[in-house]
Amino acid sequence: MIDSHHTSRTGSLPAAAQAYMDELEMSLEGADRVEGDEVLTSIREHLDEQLAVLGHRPTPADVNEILSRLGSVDQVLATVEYQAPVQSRDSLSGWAVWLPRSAVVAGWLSLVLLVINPFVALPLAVLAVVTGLVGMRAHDTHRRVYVVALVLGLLGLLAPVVVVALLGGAGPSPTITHSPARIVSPNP
Amino acid sequence: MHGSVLCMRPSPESVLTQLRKGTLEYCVLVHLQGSASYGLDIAKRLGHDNVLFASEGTLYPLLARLRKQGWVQTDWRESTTGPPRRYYSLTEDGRAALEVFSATWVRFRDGVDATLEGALND
Repeated sequence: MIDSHHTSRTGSLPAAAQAYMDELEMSLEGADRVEGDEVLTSIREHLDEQLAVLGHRPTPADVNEILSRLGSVDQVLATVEYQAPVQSRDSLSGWAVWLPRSAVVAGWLSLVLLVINPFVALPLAVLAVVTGLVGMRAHDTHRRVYVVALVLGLLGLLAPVVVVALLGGAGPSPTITHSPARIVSPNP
Repeated sequence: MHGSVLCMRPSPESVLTQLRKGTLEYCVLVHLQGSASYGLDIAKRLGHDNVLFASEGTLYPLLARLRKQGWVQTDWRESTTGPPRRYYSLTEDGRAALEVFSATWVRFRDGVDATLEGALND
């Protein structure tokens, strides 16, 4: 766990080093936020450490030497991009976007079709519930959409039960007719 | 009519770049196997001959990824020369990953060596 207390450096950097950090910060905007922040603070620590061990006020030549060993911003970014299993599979594949949306549509349709054609509505509701449950567990992204699909699907499944229960409760109480029991005595 | 063939000869640096992919992270784990270390120290130890990496800055995205994977963990320690340092140390998962890599690397290296030696002997 990173201690955020230590990640904020307050000392000022020489102009060239600060320009390097500014360029790096801007260039990392498209990267994973946590990784980008960590890279930024680590490189800032690296610069602070390098400047501290000089033991004297850094000259422009010192700073250039340190930045030269650090490598260009492009070189650092190339490593970030290369190591981008950071980018989840979800963001790379089209189905991962359309699956949760389709599940939501299935959930809505199940509610709409409930009165018109319950034989279609109920499978759609089941589909929305299953997709919502699996998607919530398997995918970090689109979790909210999967939750919506799950809720709609559950409504689609529960609504008929509630309606039947209400209709059953409001209707006349059924008349129970008892037919006399037929007693068969065993033959002697 | 013969088609023209574009002949590209790779530079040593481009070959190194390809070889570094997938191996440098394990070299970092090897370095951390002995004891915890901080960024600049890792950079100096592994980058002194420009073989494992050419620029120190490329180490930090890799360290961030190792931490994200749970193979290393970080803690802060005071320094006598400057601000507190972020120390990286190996986790149990990192140690296990390193064991797998070490065993696999020997086979891979032997395979490459045998191929190169075979080609040279022909």
